[in-house]
Amino acid sequence: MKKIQSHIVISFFLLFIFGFAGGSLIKPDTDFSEKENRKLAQKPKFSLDRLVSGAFSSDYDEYLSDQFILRDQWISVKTLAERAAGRQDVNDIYFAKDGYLIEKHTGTFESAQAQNNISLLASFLGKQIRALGSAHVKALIAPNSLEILSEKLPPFADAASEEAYVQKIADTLPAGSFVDVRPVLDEHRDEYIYYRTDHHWTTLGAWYAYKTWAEEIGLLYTPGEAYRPRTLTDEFYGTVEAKVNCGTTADVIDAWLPFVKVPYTLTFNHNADKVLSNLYVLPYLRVRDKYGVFFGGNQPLTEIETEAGSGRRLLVIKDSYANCFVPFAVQDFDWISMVDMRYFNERLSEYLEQHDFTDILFLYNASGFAEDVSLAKLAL
Amino acid sequence: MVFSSLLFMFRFLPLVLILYYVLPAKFRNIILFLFSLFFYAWGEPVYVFLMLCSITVDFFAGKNINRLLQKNKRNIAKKVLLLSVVYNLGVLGFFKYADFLIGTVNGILGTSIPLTNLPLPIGISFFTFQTMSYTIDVYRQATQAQTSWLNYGTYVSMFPQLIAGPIVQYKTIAEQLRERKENTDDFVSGINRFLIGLGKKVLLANNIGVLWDSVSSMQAGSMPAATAWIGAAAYTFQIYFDFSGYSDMAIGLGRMFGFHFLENFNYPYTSRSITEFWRRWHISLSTWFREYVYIPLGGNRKGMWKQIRNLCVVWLLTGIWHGASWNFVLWGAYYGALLILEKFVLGRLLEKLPGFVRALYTLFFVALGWILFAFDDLGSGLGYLLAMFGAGGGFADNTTIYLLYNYAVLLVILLLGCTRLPKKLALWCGQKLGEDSWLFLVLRLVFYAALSLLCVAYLVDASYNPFLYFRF
Repeated sequence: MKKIQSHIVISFFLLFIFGFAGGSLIKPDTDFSEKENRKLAQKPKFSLDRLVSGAFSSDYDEYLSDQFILRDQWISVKTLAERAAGRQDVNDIYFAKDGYLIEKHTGTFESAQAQNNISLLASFLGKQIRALGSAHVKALIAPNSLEILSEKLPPFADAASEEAYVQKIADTLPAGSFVDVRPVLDEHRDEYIYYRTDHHWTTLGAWYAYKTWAEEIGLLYTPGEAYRPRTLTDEFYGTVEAKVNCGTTADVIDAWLPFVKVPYTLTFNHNADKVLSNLYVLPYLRVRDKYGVFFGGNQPLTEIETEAGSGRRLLVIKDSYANCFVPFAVQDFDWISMVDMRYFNERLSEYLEQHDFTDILFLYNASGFAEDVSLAKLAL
Repeated sequence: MVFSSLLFMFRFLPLVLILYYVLPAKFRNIILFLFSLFFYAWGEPVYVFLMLCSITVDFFAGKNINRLLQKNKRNIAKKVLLLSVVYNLGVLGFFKYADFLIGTVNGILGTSIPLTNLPLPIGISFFTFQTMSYTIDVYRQATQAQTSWLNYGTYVSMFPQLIAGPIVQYKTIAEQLRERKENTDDFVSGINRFLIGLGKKVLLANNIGVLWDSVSSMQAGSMPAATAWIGAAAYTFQIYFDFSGYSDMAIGLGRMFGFHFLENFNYPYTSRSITEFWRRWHISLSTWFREYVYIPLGGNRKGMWKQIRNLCVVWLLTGIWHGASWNFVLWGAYYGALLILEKFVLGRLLEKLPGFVRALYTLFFVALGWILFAFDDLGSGLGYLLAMFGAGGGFADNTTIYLLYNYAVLLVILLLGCTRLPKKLALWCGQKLGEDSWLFLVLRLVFYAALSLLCVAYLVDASYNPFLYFRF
C-alpha cells in the first residue's frame, strides 16, 4: 500500500470515530421519542455516590444510545440488514403477509405472572357473579393478531403459545363468564380487524367482539346499520412499527358514528371541572400515537353518563383494547365506568359499592393480560 | 467498558487517540495508563484500586527479585517470588473462588458459612496471570525487571488487553513499553483488525447469540434433537466469534498504539484433532499454562504416568480458570481426558482417517464441550446434552424448521467465517488488483464503511450485546 493510501484509510477511520463523536455531541438532546412513544434517557447527573455504585456509567451508556444521532435511521438500517439476511422476525416482530407486523410475544404466555393472572381474574369474577349473576359478569380476553392472523405468519412460525394460553383462560374462568370472541374474529379474519402496524384491534374488530358480548348478556344493542364508519386518519403508524422502523403501509383509524347519537357527558378521574361531551380527542390525530384519539389514551378512571335509557349500568375493567370498544357501549348503557387497573388508585370494592352497576365486563387483550402486574388490586 | 459500545467508539477512543498523538511522545505511557484506569473504573470504580495494588506488589516483587539475583541470593529471591505468587493467587482465590469453595464446603459438611457475595472484579483472571508471568520471568531471568512503576502499570492495565486478553506476557512487550515506533502501516493494520473484530462481535456473535438464547431457554425435556443441535451450533459459533472478535479488537487497538501482541486464535474450528484445537484456541492461555505449569511439572519428559498427571493438573486448572463452578471443572476434565486419549490411544488411529472425518470428529467433541461450558448448572447442561441425543422426543418440529431457515444465511456466513476463506479471498483480490492499486483501496474502503455503519446500527439498537468472556 502506498503511503498516501495508508493516509486515506487512516483518515477514513478518524472521520468515522470523530464524525459520530462530534455529531452526537452537537445534536441537542430530545426529551421524548414520539416514534417509540417513550421518554428518552437524559444526561445523567454526576455524583460521587452514583459513580462508585456504577449507576452513573450505566445511565450514561443508556443516554448515549437513546440520544445517538440519527437513532431512528439506525434502527431502520438494522431491520433492513436482518431482513436481507433472511430473518422473518426482527426485534420480536414477525414480518407477516399483506404488510402485517405481528408481535411474537416470546415468553409472555409462559410466565408465572401470566398463570397467576388467570387465578386472580377467576376469583374476582367468582365474587362478582355471586352478587350480579353469571349473565352480567363477563371476561372478554381478546386474542392478539398473532393468534387470529396466524395464517399470515411466515412459514413454520406458529402461535401455539397464545392459543394454549387463551384456551387455558377459557377453561379456568367460572362457567359462562368467558366471552369467546375467537370464533367471530376467526370468521372475519380476512377483514381489517387488526392494525398492520399497531398492537390493537381495529374498530371493526372491536365491533364484532361487542356484538358477541352484547348478545351473550341479552343487551338490546344499537345494530351495525345504525352506524356510519368515518375515517379519522389514514396515516397511522403504531407501536409495533416503531420497533422495526421499516416501511409498510400506514393504517387507517375509523370511528363508527351513530346516525342517532345518544347524548352523553364524560369525566376523567373525578375531575368535575372538565366535563367533555365528545369521547374522540381529535388533537391526537396530529401526533404519532393516533390511537389516543379514543378517550385521549388510557385514563385511570373514565365515567360516562348517557341518556340511553336502557336501565343498565356498566363497569369495564380494561386495557387499551377497550378504548375503541366502549364507544359502542355508550349508545346502549345509562352509565359506564372504565377502570384501568394499572393506574387506578382507589379500592375497587369501595368503588363498586358506591355505584350501582348492573353489568361488569373485564376486557383485556391476551398478551396485555398475561403481562399485567396490577391485577392483584382486583381483590382490594 | 467494552470495545463494542458507542461509549468506547465515539467517546473514549477518539479522546485517547488524539491525546496520545498530539502530546509529546514522553507522555504516551502516562496517557495510556490514565485512560486504562478510566476504562477499567467505568464499570468497576472500586476494584480499580485492587488492580493498582496488584501492580504495586508485583512491581516491587520484580524489582527485589532482580536485585537479590544480582547479589546471588537466589534463595531469598525465590521467597520473594513465592510471596508474589501467593499474593496473586490469594487475590484471585478470594475474589473468584471463595464463594464456590464456601458453597461446596457448606454442601458437603452441612455447615452454613456465609458467602462473601462479592462481585467478580472484571478481568481479574487475565491480569493476575499477566502479573504472575512477570515476576516468574524476572526470577527465571527470562526478562529484565521493569524499573518504572508507570511503565509496569501501563503494561498491566493497558486497556486493549485488560479485561479479556489476550494474556500478554511481559517479556513479549518489554521492549515496546520502553521504546516503540508507532507508524502508519501499523495503524492501518490496526484499523483493519479492529473493524474486523468489531464486525465479528457485533454482527456475527451477537446475532447468533440470539438464536442460542432462544433455544437454550426452551424446555430441554421436550426439545427435538435437531433443535438442540442447532442451538449447540449457535453457541459454538457465538463463543468463537465473540472471543476471537474481542481478541482481534485488542490486537488491532494495540497496533494503533504501536504494540504488537501475539495472536490468540488461529482458525481453531478447522482443527483435525482436539490436540490441534487447543493449539489454535485461546493460544495465550494454553501457552501460559504450558510455560508456567506443565513444563515446570516436568511436562512429557518424565515418563507416561507423570505426563498423564501433568495433563490432568493443567486441564483441571484450565477448567476452573474459566469460572468458579463445577461445570467448568467437568469441562476441563473432559478436555484432559480427550487429550490423554488422543496422545496415547486415538492419535495413530486418527492419522489414518481422511481430513474431513477428523475435522468432524473435532467439531463434534468441541460442540459437546461447549454445552458443558454454557450451563453453570450441571443438571441443565446434562439435560441439554441428552436432548441432543433424542431424549426430548422427536427429531424436528415447526420451530426447528423456522429457526433453521431464518438463520440459514447467518449460519453459512459463520461457517465460512471460521475458515481461512475470507482471508484468502482478500489476498486474492489484492493480488489480482494489485496491493497498491486504487481499485483495491476503494474496495477496502467500501468494505470498512459497510462494516462500521452496520456495527453502529446494531449498537444503537442493541437489545442484545453480552460479552461471554466477561466473567473470567
